Formats: sequence, C-alpha cells, structure tokens
Amino acid sequence: MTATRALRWLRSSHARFIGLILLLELVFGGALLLSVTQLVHASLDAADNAIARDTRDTLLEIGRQDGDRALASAVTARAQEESDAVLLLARADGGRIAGNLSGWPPVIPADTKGVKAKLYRIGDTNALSYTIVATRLRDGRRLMVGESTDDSDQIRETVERTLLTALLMALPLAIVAAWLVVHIIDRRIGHIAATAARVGAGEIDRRVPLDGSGDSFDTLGRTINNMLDQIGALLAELRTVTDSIAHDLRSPLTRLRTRIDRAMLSDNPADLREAIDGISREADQLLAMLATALEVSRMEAGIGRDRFVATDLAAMLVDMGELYEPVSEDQGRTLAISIEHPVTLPVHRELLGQAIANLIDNALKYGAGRMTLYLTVEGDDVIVGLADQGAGIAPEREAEALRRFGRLDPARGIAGAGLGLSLIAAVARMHGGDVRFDRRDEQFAVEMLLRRPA
Amino acid sequence: MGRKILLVEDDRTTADFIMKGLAEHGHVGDHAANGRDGLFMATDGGYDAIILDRMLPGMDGLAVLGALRAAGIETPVILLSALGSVDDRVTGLTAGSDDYLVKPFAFAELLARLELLMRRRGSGTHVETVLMCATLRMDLLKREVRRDARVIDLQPREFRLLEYLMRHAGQVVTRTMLLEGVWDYHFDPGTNVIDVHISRLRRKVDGDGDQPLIHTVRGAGYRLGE
Repeated sequence: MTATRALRWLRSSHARFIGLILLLELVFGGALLLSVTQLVHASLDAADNAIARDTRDTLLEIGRQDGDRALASAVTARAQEESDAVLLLARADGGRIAGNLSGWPPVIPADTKGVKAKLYRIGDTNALSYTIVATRLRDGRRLMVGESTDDSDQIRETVERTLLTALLMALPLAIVAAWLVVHIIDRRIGHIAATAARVGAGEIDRRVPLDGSGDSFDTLGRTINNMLDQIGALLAELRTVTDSIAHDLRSPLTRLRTRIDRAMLSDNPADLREAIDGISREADQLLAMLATALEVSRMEAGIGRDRFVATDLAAMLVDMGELYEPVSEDQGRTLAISIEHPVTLPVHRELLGQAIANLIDNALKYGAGRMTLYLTVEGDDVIVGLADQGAGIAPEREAEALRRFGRLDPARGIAGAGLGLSLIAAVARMHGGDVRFDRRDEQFAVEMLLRRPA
Repeated sequence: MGRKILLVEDDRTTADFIMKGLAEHGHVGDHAANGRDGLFMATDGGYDAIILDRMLPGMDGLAVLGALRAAGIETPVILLSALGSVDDRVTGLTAGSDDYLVKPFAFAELLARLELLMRRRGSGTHVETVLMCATLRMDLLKREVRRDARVIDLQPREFRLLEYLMRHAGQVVTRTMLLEGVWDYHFDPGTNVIDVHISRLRRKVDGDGDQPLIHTVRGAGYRLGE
C-alpha cells in the first residue's frame, strides 16, 4: 500500500523536480570540489618545488665558490638540520658522497626539474613523499634535493574534507529550496485548479485570479479565463437559440393545434380536406425550419467542407435566376442577373444554391421593386449579392436579423422561419467569408463574400 | 400491375403506414423488422425494389446496402432516413442506394419515387428520340413540341421540364423530384417556385379548349396523362 504510494510519488512532478535540483546541486558541488582541489594541489606542489630548488641553488653556489669539500659538508649539515628534506650528493655512478640517502634511487633521473617519489632516508622506517629536483654537476657528480610534501598533503586533505562537508550540508538546503519552489508552483496551480473545479461544479462566472505579472502562470490563467468567457458566451447564445426555437415553434404549433381543433368540429368533407391540407402545410414548414436549423449547426461545426467542387458561379446564378423568374413575375417583380466577373470557385453547390434561393426568397417576401442578383469580385473575395429597392434592414438591427431564428418584428406576420439570413451567413462563413449589407443608390443589398482559395 | 417490394423498417407505425399504402396501390409488400432479416430476405426474395431504413437495430441500413451490393444484388433501393442534411443524402447515394428520402415523408412521394425506380429498371437503355403522350409529341432531335399540328414554342428550361414529365408520363412526380430532375438541386425551394413553372407550361401545353394533360395531384405533385 505505502509502497505503491511511494512509487506514485516518485513518478510525480514534485519528486522529479526535487530530484532534478538535488542532481544539479551534486553535479555543481562535485565540479567545484574537483576544481578547487586541483588548484590547491597545483599551488602547493609549486611551493614545495620552489623550496627544493632554492636549497639546490644555494648548495650549487657554495660548491662553485668554496669547492667540493665545502659542498659535501654543506649537504651533510643541511641533511642534519632539515628534518623533512632529502639531500644527496652522489658520484656519477650514484654512490653516496654526502646526504641522508644511502644511494641514488634508480627511479630518479640525474637531471630533473621536479619529480615526485616516495623515499626512505637513512634511519627512516617509513617511506615519505618528496618533490625532488636533481642536477648533474660538471664533473659528473649528482646533486639531489627533495622537499617533503607531508604538510601540503595535510592541507590538501583539510581542504577536501571542508569542501565535502560543505557540499553535504548544502544537500538538505537544496531539498528545502526545491520543496519551496514546488510549494510556490503548487499554490499558483492550485488557484487555477480550484477555479476550474468550481466552474465544473456550475459556478460558470468564476475566473482565475490574475496578478498581472505576465509570467507563465498569469498567461495560463488569462488563457483559461478567455476560454471560460468563450464558453460562457456560447452558453448564453445556446440559451438564446433555445428560447427563440421555443418561441418560434410555439406559434406554428399553436396554429396547427387550432386547425386540428377546428377540423374536429366540422362534418363537411370539403372543410376537412382543406383543414388537413393546411395542417400538412404547417407541419412541412415546421420540418423545414428544423432541417434548416440543423443544416446551419452542421455548417457552423465545419461539416461538409469536403464536398466542395469547382463550380461555375455565373452559370449557377443564371440557373437560380431562371428558377425564380416566373414566381417573381407572378408577384409583379422583376429579377435581373448581372455577371460583372465570371468566376469558377470550389463551393458546396447544394448549400450555396440554397443560400442564393434564400436571398431571392427573402427579397420576394420582405423587399420591394426590381431585384438584381449579381456576381462580382473584390480583391480575394467573390461576391454573390442580391439588391432590391426595398427599405432593407435598418443598420441597428443587422445583428438581430442574422441571429438564428431571428426575425425582425415587422416580419413576424409573414410566413417564414427566420432562418434565411442565418443560413446565408453560415454558407458564406463555410466558404471562408461572411455576409454584409450594402446601401447605395436607393438600393438595399445582401452580399455573400466567398473567399477565393490562395 | 403489382410489384413485389421489400420493406426493411424497425418502426412499427411507419412500417404499417407504408405496407398499407403499398397494398392500396396493388403492390405486394414483405416486411423485415431488422437489418439481418432484411438482408436475408433481400438476397433470395427476388424483389422489384427495396425500401431500406437507414437506422436499424442489429445491422445498420448502410451496412445492409453494402452487403447487398457486394453480393452483386442490384435491386433498386430507396433509403429512408431521419438524417436530413445534404451530406447525409450524398453519403446514402454514394453508398449504392438509388434514391434517398428523408423522414417524415408523404406516401405519395415514396410511391412516386419507387415507381420511377422500377420503371427505370424495366425500360432498359434504348435511346428514345420521340416522346408521345396523347396528342402531345416531343421530338428530342429537332427540339420541337407539337400538340396535334400546333407547334408549341418552349423556353429551354420549359422543354426540359416537359421532357421530364413526358418521360414519366402517367406517374406522379413531386416538386422535389422536378427540382432534382430538371434543375439538379435537392433543397426545398420553399415558395411555390415549381408550381409557377408548371402553370406556365400548362398554359402553353393545355391551350384553349384542349383536353388538359398536366394534372395536379393533391398533396403530392403533378401527373402528365389523359
């Protein structure tokens, strides 16, 4: 039980973090220890070597000024008074003339500026470490001077021990520091987690507290807040849509209900027939509303983009114009087609066709006068628009008109689902564009902008 | 003449409604309530057409269709579906169905499409150059239409509309079938767009005093015939 918990803790980011800090501390401490020791070594060796060289130089000077005898006696004297040095004056074959070594050790070259060796002096029971300089004299004799490294070794050991102790003492400090860092991170993440938990529990207005520092936690919090704002906006929109659907479905359903009630009171087969026809029409309209609402939702979710095919838009406009020309004429309106710029564009033919049909249908229902269905190009955008001579949509009501199921009050009396514009907008957005309104020369136009692929 | 039709549909109400309608129009219907039974009956039943619901328990309609086509059975299939979006329709058609009808639908629409499918299957592939219906004669090569001796002057689109009606003479064609067959769009035009086209055509074809040939079928669509 505890074993698995410990194992889980080891896998946690806390453990990894603390582990990482410890590792770094060990690596850096170790490197420091190593380099300090190396430096100390080098400088102590240099000091010992310098002493040995000084002694040798002094002896050589004596030899040069006072002769061989003086040198031999100086070596003997030095060997007696210096307890931690080796001195040896030897013949060319290494045999001892004077000094505290019994003979020239074979490991020491006759001429050297510094070599380390362990040597037994005459009377010694232990070998000691020396740093040694040796010089061959002009007559072939050899002089060796060595300085004990005992003291230096002690200093070295002390330095190493001190550093190691410091390093070990720093370890718990590092653990504490790591733990503190983890704790700080935990606290800041904790704020975010707590906010997310409360939003999850239903407090959708809750936001992550920000400190404005702009660090990564602040950025994370801000990003999450933006996301929550977006979710909130979507929820609000969903609520509006649901309310509007309920509202807009209620009136046709009520009409349906009334017709059924009236039909039930009648015995006349002709009246019944007519009532059933009416009911069927109402039902069809309800179904069409739902189908369109569904189609718009699917488009907004980006479904259907894979069905784009290259389509001659001019031909399409002519087709749609031809389809609607008789019905327009019947209503005393004219529908003209104006192709300023023929374009072939990959589009969702069915949905774009439906959107154009909706444009014409809207103009027939709510517009007035001559209608012009036109195709033109503006930069990267292809524009499919319909202009008429009616009052159009007031600028301050544009957003309302574009809403799904959004029908402007004056239009509520006219049959229709209020989905025409939202479908038009959804189709335009599906093609990378948008819908816009244009007023000029006593005309009102609804335009679909379709983005041309690069 | 009665045809043998298989209905694969799990919803009882819809099934009863369709079976009753088929019987009323002189067709012999068999009913399977799930995909597995439907596939089994379809593979050895020798049906003239199959009405296949898309969402079925056990084996889904598209899977049944796929298995049928894989087995080399080319019986015409109409898919029924509550999935009404444009893309669902395309998926259904590319999966090998001959037609696609969105629930809920009028029985007249189903029947019209069903008879269209079965006739298409029966007619073979020979190319007609002249279409006749009573005293109406359409010459496809000369692009000329005559009622008795009188030449009827038609716009290109009116010509295609009449051609469609004449190719399906005696059958009910619905407004959506006309929009599909003549304009190649599948959406619901909403207003009485098609009706106005038909009434214009009717004015030209059924001129003064002639016997009317273009009939309105209540709640369904139109029929060309005597």
